[in-house]
Amino acid sequence: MNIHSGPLKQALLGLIPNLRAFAVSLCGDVERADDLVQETLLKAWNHLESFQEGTNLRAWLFTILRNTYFSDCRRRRREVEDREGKKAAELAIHPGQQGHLDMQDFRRALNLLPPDQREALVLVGAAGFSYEEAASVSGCAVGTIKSRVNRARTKLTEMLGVNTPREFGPDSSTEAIVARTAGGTRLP
Amino acid sequence: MNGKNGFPGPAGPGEAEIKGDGGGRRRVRPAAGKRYAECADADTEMENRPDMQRAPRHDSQAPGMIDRSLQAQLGRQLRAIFEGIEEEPVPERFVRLLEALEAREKQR
Repeated sequence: MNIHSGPLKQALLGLIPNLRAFAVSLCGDVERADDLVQETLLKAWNHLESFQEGTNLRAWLFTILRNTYFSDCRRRRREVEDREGKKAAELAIHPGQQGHLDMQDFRRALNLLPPDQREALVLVGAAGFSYEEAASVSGCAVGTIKSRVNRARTKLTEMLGVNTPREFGPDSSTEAIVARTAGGTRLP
Repeated sequence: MNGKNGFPGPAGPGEAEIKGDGGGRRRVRPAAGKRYAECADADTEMENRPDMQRAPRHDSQAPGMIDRSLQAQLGRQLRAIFEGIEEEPVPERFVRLLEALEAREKQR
């Protein structure tokens, strides 16, 4: 082991808030996020020999976490696709429905992004990684990260309909009608 | 949990582009022309439905060209979510986990 367990424990403890923030942003579910963090900590501890001392511990942990998340996603792919399909129909946010940028709407829209785009956006836009670091965490080219971030932003804008901000959103009864309408107009 | 689920939003050109690309790992892309044709139909359908006409069209804005202040707004919300979680105290389960791992290490 390169690092003594004491300092390692402290370093890991210090990075847990950051890891949790990444995990929640990635999967949109606090419980699942904490399971991901737990698995990440265990894997990191047990595979410390594969960490190169002097490199970025945070990036290494983020890589473990996102790999765990995506292999988990592949494993539950069918189940997730069914569930997310329904969720998308129920929760889709129609452009122009609301002028103000509601935090709840933003969360929903973020969760509806394709996971690879959401990951790129969170790494670059919230976790403070450079495009290069994000590419190394995600195991893809820098150009891929850039295009995922762009697509994520475009998609969020479309979903939230913030191209034409209005001062007031519709009242809740209107929203309910709009939500029902949205459920019945899925694209082919 | 990917772009293939199809969001029931309006089908502008940007949407079509994203749908074609959003499939994640599998890079089997359908012919782009076909996608656009389908979306054009969807547009026509929506124009004929009075309840859908509230949806603004983004045709005048090229996909990918998002206003800077808007991007800043989205960025602030994203960071607000992220930082909100960061500020939460470390759950006890992780403290216990790391203590257990450390104790196991010392026994060796």
